[in-house]
Amino acid sequence: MSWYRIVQLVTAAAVLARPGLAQTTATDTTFAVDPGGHLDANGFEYASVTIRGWDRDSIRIRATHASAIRLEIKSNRRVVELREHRPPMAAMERVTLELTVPRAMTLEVIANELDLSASGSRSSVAVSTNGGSIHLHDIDGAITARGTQVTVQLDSTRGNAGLRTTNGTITVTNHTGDLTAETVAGDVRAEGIDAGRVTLTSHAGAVEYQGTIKPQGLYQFGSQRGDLTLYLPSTAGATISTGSVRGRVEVSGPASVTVPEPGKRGTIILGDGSAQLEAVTFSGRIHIIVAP
Amino acid sequence: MTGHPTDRLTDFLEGTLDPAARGTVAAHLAECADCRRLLAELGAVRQRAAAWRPSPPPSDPWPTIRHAIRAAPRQRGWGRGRHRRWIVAGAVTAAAVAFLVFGRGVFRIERTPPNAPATSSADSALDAQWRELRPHLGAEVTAPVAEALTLINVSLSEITAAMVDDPGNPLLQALYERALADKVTVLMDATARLIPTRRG
Repeated sequence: MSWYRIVQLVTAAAVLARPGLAQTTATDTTFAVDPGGHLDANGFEYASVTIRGWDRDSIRIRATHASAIRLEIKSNRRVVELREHRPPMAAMERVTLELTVPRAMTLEVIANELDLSASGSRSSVAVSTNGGSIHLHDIDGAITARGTQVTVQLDSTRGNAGLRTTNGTITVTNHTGDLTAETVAGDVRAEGIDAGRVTLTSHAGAVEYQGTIKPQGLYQFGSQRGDLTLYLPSTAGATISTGSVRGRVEVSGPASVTVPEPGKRGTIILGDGSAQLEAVTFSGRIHIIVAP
Repeated sequence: MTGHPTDRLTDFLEGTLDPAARGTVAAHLAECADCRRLLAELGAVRQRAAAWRPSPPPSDPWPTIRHAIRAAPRQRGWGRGRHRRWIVAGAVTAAAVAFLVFGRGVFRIERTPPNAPATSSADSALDAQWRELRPHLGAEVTAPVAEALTLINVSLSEITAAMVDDPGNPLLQALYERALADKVTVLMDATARLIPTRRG
């Protein structure tokens, strides 16, 4: 704290005689920041956060929350920190934040329960939460999203993305960049992917992939109990190591290939076979569909 | 001897059985092709594990985590103890990486009654870790994590049962290792939630 210059300390309204939870406090402040700086919103218990990028060297913070909750905003221009101070009586109250930030500002949001929507950033985004939802749209930068019981959705994103939730669905649409998406009890669906390295795994859910297969690329798809459906381009050149213990492997499309017998791992070669692709499941069905 | 002595094959391989038990297992192996295949697979796993070890592996990957848990008293609220949380998370990550790299070296099939779900010592260590970790977590974390671990445990049981029937199947081996890795990941993520428990 000593090296931070406190720009603003926003507290609940001074109505403390009866700090009822029905009373709300609204904050709306804008101040200058380093456009390549860092936003650190950490330690929120329940929060709805909307982040938008803009082409200004300043940040606008709009917040609404119960008056019993104190929102602390600290900045040294390079780093902006947002923290909440919440008494036990407000344990279940939600803080709503609308943040408009320079596009190049890196973003880090950590909360216990979080519904986050971010768009228009041109820098890295890192989100971690126990529960809720994460929706990232039009992001151009590295993405990290972690959660326990969280739904993760990406669309129109560019950059390497690492997504992991214990119990939730992951959906990625129109993404350019290496992609890792892992869940245990949910589906993973990725469509319109342009990447040389892709790992999509679920434990109990289905996995779907539609995207490029680049030369020398590495692609890994797996589910213990769910189906795998892969939509590959007609130009795909890949050596596919695949097998299902209890299910079937099917290949649709112009390629004439021999699929592995049930319960065994086998190899299917498409085109020049230069990319490495693995698709395995214990009890699911594997369907590889090659575009005509 | 009734059933397959799959719970003793690792000890047979390591030469730790007493002479009488060793003789019994050897007699069974002479008549059972499945157990001979499983023994060969276990030997291959041991060889692979030996090749993966640049230095002696930790026999138990979790003391670091346990130490971190005990060193970090239960916190209330996310705002406090942030640095300690990262220390814990770092310790967990290091231990989990050690487990993933070296832990397979201690892979061993244990199957006490012939038809009981099979487990490995690595899997058992992870279950023990979860029992230790669980009381330190909030309900919002334990419920989904327990659900996920149940799913993974069912899969592990199915895979290990299938491995007994088809011990040399590399697909089963790959799926087993993947399921075990899923379990490590779930526990890592749960441990990362250690400090920020919900206010009570």
